[in-house]
Amino acid sequence: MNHRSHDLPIVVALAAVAVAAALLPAPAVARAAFALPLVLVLPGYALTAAAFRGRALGLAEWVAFSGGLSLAVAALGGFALTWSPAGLQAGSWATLLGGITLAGSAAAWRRRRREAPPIAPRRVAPGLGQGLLLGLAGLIAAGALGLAATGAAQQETAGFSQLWLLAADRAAAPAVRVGLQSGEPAATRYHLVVIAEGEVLGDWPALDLAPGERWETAVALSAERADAVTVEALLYRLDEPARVYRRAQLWRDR
Amino acid sequence: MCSAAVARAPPSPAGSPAGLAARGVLMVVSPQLVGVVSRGRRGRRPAYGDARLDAAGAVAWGALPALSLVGALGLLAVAGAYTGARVGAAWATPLFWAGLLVLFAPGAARLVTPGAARAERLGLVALLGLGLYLVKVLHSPLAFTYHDEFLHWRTASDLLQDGRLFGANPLLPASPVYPGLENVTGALVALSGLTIFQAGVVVVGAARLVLALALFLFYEVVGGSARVAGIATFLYMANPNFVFFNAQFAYESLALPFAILVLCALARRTGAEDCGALTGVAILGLGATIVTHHVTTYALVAFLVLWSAVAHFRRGAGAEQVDPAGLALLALVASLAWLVYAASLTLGYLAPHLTSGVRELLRIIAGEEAGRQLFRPYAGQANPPWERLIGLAAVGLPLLGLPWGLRQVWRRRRADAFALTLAAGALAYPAGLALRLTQFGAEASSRTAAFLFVALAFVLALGVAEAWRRWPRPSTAAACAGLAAVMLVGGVIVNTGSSARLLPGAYLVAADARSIEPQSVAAAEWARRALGPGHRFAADRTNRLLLGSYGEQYVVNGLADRVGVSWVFFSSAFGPAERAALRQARVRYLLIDRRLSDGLPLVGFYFEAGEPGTFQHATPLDPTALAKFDVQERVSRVFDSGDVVIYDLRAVTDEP
Repeated sequence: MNHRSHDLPIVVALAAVAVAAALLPAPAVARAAFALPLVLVLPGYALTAAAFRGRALGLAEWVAFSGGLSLAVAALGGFALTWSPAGLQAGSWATLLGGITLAGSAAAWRRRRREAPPIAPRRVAPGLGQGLLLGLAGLIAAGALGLAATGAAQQETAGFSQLWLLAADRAAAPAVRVGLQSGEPAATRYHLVVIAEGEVLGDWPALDLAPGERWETAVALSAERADAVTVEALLYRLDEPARVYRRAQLWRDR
Repeated sequence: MCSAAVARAPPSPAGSPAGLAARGVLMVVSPQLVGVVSRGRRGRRPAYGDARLDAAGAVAWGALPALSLVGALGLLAVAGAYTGARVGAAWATPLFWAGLLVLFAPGAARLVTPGAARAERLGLVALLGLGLYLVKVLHSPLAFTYHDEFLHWRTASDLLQDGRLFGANPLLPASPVYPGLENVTGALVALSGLTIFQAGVVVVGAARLVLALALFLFYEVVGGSARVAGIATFLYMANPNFVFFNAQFAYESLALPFAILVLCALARRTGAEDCGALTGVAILGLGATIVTHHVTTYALVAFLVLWSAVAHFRRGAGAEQVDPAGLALLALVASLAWLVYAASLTLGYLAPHLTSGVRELLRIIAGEEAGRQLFRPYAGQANPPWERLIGLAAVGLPLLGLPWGLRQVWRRRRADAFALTLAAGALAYPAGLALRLTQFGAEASSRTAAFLFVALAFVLALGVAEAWRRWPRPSTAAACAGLAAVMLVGGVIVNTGSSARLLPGAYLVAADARSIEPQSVAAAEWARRALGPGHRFAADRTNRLLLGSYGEQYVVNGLADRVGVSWVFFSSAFGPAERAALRQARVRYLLIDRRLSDGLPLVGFYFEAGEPGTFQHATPLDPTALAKFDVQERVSRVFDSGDVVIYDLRAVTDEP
């Protein structure tokens, strides 16, 4: 890095924008884009710039120290925040990391004012062909990620349906909560029956659920069944009406 | 001295990408034909034929762009293998190995040869480090699936919800008192709005880059050569834990880079202008290591103490060394202080892992036990012959190379206390292998590889460099890279245990990542939504992870609760003893996964180590034992999703 260049103002500006994006309403992409350097790069970069003088560090040293120190600052910074009134929240993290970045940058600026700029190694940018190769490599790697993610998302798994039966604790009158959710690959039609000691409390002969859809309802117990010990829910699929597909049973407190 | 024919550094290359790619390949295959050389940095001739930077510090990219392209193609093959594995394609496993080798071997071969400039070597180690990390990311690109990831996800989730550290994590009680990883991840989640999974992938990826570069910089100082540094770094990456275990969202994945950063800073203090700054980096890195992972801390402390001892005895030899004793003492005191005041849970967590293995080893030596059968998984087919051979080679090759490398350390680096310390550390590698013969110690033994390879890789690298010095031919580079690739592949085989666990695919019983599937995840999410968080559940190993993470439940287990209930699941009756055990453990809900009776547990147990028949199950769990709760009075069957059933035991255990 050229120590007489504009790296410190850029660092401070990035930190300021990241802090603002964290504290103020901002688009999600912008928040994420600026949060990444605030957590992973900027505090360590500022500390590295403040601590190291004299000969210029190489790019590898800058990356290793900036990244490593940023991670270390965040790993340790949580301890300071946990004992603060604010705790570990976006605002307190932004303040801490932004503050460290600012303090480190200020210290680095003061040091550089006193010292002669070191000789930085001249770097040669990749040529066009090399750049194209690197770009192509990046594209292929991104394609690999896309392929893997698509494969994972589309992996076939066995469908399932959930049935549950719980006490409706907050109901004014004795009642139970019954529900189902479809994890089937296609829209499914169900028949649900809720029974308390032989009496049908509820019968839903044709419940249609799309994949991922949830249905839930409270079922009141009749006066005659208010003291029923057991309540049972039986779920059938209409394509197999004779087989109990799912079963739930609730033992009620007397 | 390297006798490779070299040419003047060419001008910044122009030309077609295809031509550049071909040239890059040629650089790897035959460095004598196409080389990069420049004058030495300080006018000295490097001992191992390093390529030199020109006086103006120009950076030559060399074969890096071409090898980046090759590496990306390797990643694409790995992604294709994973996708094929999900549909049961027979070509998936061979394609995976091919992709891994394409990613690793060409870069490794290039690093052995002297033709690469320092910057190219740095680029290659960064490429290899990140590329191998992406192999793990591609396996699970959408959500956590590895066992330890769920443990730390719970800590991170609690931290974000509570806004405070030191919550309780029933999945891994020690995790909240080593919250370094969760601090960093929590900061990124809070500031960016990313999910814990997304932030975790980014954090561990950033840590991986730091690890690769810090390792290189560390080895460069100790080895006196960028070429030795590159070789040692890629040999380190061939350790069994590098591709998967140390790439997961777990505390060791972040602590290791911190520890290496400490070593890097300390090594560079010798003769440095910025000694104070480097000491500051070391102290900050030490503090971060201590609050991130216990075992990494102890490994670092042990190394620093050993280094201090070696430096003390070498001081009279006239070598100029920065005294490490001060920092070693600081590390010892700080780590003990953390252990005593904040992390006393650690001993209870670590001790059983070590003592069980050592006890078992002693019984094997005494002839009282037969020992673990190698390459025979607890379920499924035994490893095919080629996997066994490669697995044995992965362990044997470092043993074979060790004497040769140690000789080079003695011949060329014995004035350097750091180098001698690494040599001493490498000697611990054979000793640690003995625990692999035990059931309970095998995992502990495999975990040591990440630490011991820091030393072992350096020693082996000196051996590789010497081999090139004596036989400077492309075949030497190919052979060294090939042997390193064998170590890499064999290490993956040894660590994963069976091909079934290596690639994604259909559900398998008690198979860690292969057991994570939508029905169980949905059941855990239902528990959180319908029951609320924090209820006491008992469940099998896989569903416990999901209930504890997705479900935010308290999952009863022997580690956290010091009470075992796993035997209840095996029992054919639900009598007074079973009820008393569940009452003592204060279990409110039981989750039964009926698929457990479909097969043997791939990891050796269904619920937790120590259950009846651990590591020795010959028949699957009895389905009637799992179904016994259906016919019990006062036991409510509150949830049914086909394979997963949840029972409410409030009437039995009186647990609210």
